[in-house]
Amino acid sequence: MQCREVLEQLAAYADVEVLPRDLQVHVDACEDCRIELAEYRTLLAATRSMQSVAVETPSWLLPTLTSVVRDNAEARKASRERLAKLSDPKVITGGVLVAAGVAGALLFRGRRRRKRTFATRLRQSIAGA
Amino acid sequence: MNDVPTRVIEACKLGDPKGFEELVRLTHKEVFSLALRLAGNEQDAADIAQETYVKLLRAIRQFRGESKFSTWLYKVTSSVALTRLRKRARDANVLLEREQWHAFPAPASAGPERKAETRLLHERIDEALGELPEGYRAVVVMKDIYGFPLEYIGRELGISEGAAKVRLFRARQRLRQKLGDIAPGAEQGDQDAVS
Repeated sequence: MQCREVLEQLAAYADVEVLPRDLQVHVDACEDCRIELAEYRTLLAATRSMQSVAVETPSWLLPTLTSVVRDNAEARKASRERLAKLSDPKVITGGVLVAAGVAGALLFRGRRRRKRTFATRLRQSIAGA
Repeated sequence: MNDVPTRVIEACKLGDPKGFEELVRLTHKEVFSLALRLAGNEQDAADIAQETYVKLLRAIRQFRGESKFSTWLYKVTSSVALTRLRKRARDANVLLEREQWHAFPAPASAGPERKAETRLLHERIDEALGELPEGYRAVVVMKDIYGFPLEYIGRELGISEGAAKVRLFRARQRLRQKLGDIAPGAEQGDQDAVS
């Protein structure tokens, strides 16, 4: 293998413990490529350790985030409480009774109207005759 | 990130606003750091952080403790960030083409003096990351810093695992070129990296 060929592949093998045999043979024999591999591995070790390194946050970030989260959480809480009130058995029973009452009243009114219509028609037909 | 105490997570699951406020206090630096490393600029990173927490409010009940909370939080953050990056790329076709330069702020922690060299290297890497095109930066940040699997990264970026791998190697090559000599104790780094 030529150095150029090896150098192109090192980025792919920086996090691999056992290199392919031909690559390993070259790296063992070539100091430049060995150093380059070590550089890649140092870079990788450094990037891996960056997860625990937090960047400096702007001073306005925490108050902004806290306020957004608080507002959202409170809105969700209020919405959940409204929903919980609606699902209270007493509220549901009351709602059912009111709905039944309204339905009954409408039914009764409809029947009376139909009876009245029939009686009116009957009277009109008798008068006509 | 130190993992978030269970009591805070439970409070959040119950929808307690104070629980969420504490969660933000405990995690915002890490969320912002990942968002900044992916987005490359402070304003986008702040928007991503905000969107992440709003998403978290709705989704926290789905967290069952099967993984560390920090891992889950990083997933939510990266998902929000990459959705924005994808949208931005669609809008302007910039994901790979546009080279962006944004200066990353220095690391927040003023650690002990003996860690000064590492800190300096972290700063240089953050700076070099900021110079990478977004598509390369996203892959290298998620894989090499946050340890996400390539298959997951590919899915989140809407590319194949193979394409994600190619981007990763190219991103590493670019970082390597930008950083020049970084390993005075090369043999030591060699051992650390594979251990």
